Amino acid sequence: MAKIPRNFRLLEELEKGEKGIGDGSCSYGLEDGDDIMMSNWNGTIIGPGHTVHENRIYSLKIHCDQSYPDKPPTVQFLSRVNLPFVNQTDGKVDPNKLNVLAQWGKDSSIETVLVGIRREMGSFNNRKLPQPPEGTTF
Amino acid sequence: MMAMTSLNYVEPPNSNLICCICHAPFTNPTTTRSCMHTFCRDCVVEAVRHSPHCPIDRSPLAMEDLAPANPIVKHLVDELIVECPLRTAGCPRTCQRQLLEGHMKDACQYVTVPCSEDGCCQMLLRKDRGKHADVCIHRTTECDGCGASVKYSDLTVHYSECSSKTATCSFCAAEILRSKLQDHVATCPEVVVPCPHAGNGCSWAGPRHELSEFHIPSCAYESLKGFFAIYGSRVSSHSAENTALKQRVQALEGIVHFMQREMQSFKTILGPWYHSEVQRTSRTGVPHVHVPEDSSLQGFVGPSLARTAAQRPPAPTPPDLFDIIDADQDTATPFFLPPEALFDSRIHTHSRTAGGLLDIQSHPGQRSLPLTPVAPLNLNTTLEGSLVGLRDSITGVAASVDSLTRRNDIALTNENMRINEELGSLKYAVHGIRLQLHRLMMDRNAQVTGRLGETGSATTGPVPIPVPAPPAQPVLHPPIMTPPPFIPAPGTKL
Amino acid sequence: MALPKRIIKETERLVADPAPGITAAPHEDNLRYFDVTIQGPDGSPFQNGVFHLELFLPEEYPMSPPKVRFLTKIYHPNIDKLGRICLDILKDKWSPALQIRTVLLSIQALLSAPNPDDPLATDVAKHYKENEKDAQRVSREWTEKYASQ
Repeated sequence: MAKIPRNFRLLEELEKGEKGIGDGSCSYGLEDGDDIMMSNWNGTIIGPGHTVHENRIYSLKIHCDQSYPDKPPTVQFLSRVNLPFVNQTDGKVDPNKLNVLAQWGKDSSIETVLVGIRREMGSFNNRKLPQPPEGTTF
Repeated sequence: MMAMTSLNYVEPPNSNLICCICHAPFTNPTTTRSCMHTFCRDCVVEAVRHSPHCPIDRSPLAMEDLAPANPIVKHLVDELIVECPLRTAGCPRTCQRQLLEGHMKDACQYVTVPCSEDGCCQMLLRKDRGKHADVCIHRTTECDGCGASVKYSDLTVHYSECSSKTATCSFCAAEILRSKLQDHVATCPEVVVPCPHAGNGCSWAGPRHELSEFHIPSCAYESLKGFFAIYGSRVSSHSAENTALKQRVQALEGIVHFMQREMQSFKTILGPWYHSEVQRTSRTGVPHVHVPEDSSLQGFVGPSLARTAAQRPPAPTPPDLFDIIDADQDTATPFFLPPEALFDSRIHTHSRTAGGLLDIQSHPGQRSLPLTPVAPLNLNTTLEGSLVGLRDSITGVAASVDSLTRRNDIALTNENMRINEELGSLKYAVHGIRLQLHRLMMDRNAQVTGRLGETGSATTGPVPIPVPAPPAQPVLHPPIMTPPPFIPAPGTKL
Repeated sequence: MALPKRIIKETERLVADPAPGITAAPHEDNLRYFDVTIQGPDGSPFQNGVFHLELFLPEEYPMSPPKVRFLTKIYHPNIDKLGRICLDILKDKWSPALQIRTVLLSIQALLSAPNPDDPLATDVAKHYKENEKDAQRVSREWTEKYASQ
């Protein structure tokens, strides 16, 4: 199978993100539309229902360096959130504690990262975690 | 077979024979009917599947528009000279493209083929097959000793068994043909042998050549040789006898076991009809046979006892069935009600019958039921016979119950009719009385209303009796039975 | 998966016999991924510029078109901020009879003949339609700024 180079892979992801994914509970796009290297992305997650995150909107920064997609992107929460894999001082996601990053594979993408984080929010262990006030940022 | 598109052509092919899709000379050249462009068949089929347009001029194109190209084109590409695809492996062959398949299949020395020896799964180049056949461990070879055909891999194993090879005697170190080894060991003077009297207790053992030379002359047992022979034969005859006896005992034990099993099954079949001697004796106090209490032959008691029970004279002619049951209660109870219960139920049956017949006692002939004589239970027969007898008795009882029921029904019907008649006459009598009473009441009413009419409306004609009557005149309605439908309601006509 | 013979042939020819003003070289670790340069055609606002592009041959190539993108910023109505190119042969007008060389020649031609009626970068196209001279001046400026050697 031909290996898709990083830039064309990111272009594909950008086009998919522009079209919108799933039910709209996760979305992402380039931070800067002029960024020809497509390194910095913004992501948004709407908290899953029937959890402490319900109706909250979380902003994240996703950075895809030159090793993407061989290596996972680095992910950082901008909105304050209390989750076991989020560093509580700077909002960085620990790639070893988040399944979608720890088990990064060829089918993984920015979308799977966001969807994976949202699924974690709704998991049994995390759905009731006390959360910082809505709208606060790191 | 390798794909045509990966072939190397010796001469650069004419560019008119190149497919614009795979950039190689046509394979199965195919021409479009609509625009006459030629491609490899696989290439253009794939292209049309992606987009139904001619790849060259973009005019609409369907699968049906594809047809084999002019045979000239096919010949031109088939005759192009190509290198053998295994050139890198070493095959220098070049040939027309159409001959390549045959070359690869049968001729090319650089094609990988499996070794032809049975059991060998090695893959080798065709050219190496002969070389390999000489060394393949699965090849068949001949044993140089016995001449048998043996797989090369099995040869060492074969040599270790082959009778044509020499083997070393482990005692005297002599080299001897394996086929003779057995004989040699039987005579080898170095083999350690025991004294011939070891069976009698001589513990000497040593090389065979020392036995006759040194040991026998000094062996203490040698002088007793004759004695040992005589006693040896005696002991063996005893032990032979012993063995025979043991066998007989075993056979007898087998028979005993068989009998016990049979007994057990008979007991099961007989059920309550089987009497053990212990019960019998305790009941009669007269033991029929002596029962050894601790005998291991307990199992044998069964059949004789059963026979005794079966042959035992019948109980003194019993007055009726209940007495028989009573006599045999110890065995029969599991199958019948306890005697008290039976007795109770008998009484109950009697009393119920009496109660049921109470009102027909006036009918002569129905009063006392004739008791069907019941044949005494014959215990002299087999269990089956007893059962047949019981069954017959039951059939008889059922028949008499049936006739009794029928008689009962007739009596009841008769009695009913009589009672009905009596009831009818009584009803008429009551009705007559009621009419008389009614008339009396009417008269009395007329007197009362006459008095009332003087104060109220005097113009009223015959005043109907108000129904229902006001509570002030409860006496107007004598308590009556529900009148029969054909009797008019009081007051409407009278 | 072995590289199809056609791609090997195309690569060999691109390297051995490049089209004027165009270079293309495959990456060592991915022979379907090419580094491309296109010189701005003479007489166009992109003259004297050397534009870097990247080109990728997907698995289905040549049944599917190659993917091409400008890596050098360029002020052109049919090329957007991310370098994506609006060219029909890269989309629905692709034909397996086309090849890398023809695609790159078509892109070179697009630089000579911008088509503001089929824009990808709408603001640039508007500029070109309303004031072509001024738009070309910006294109020249960008070429100077981003695409000079």
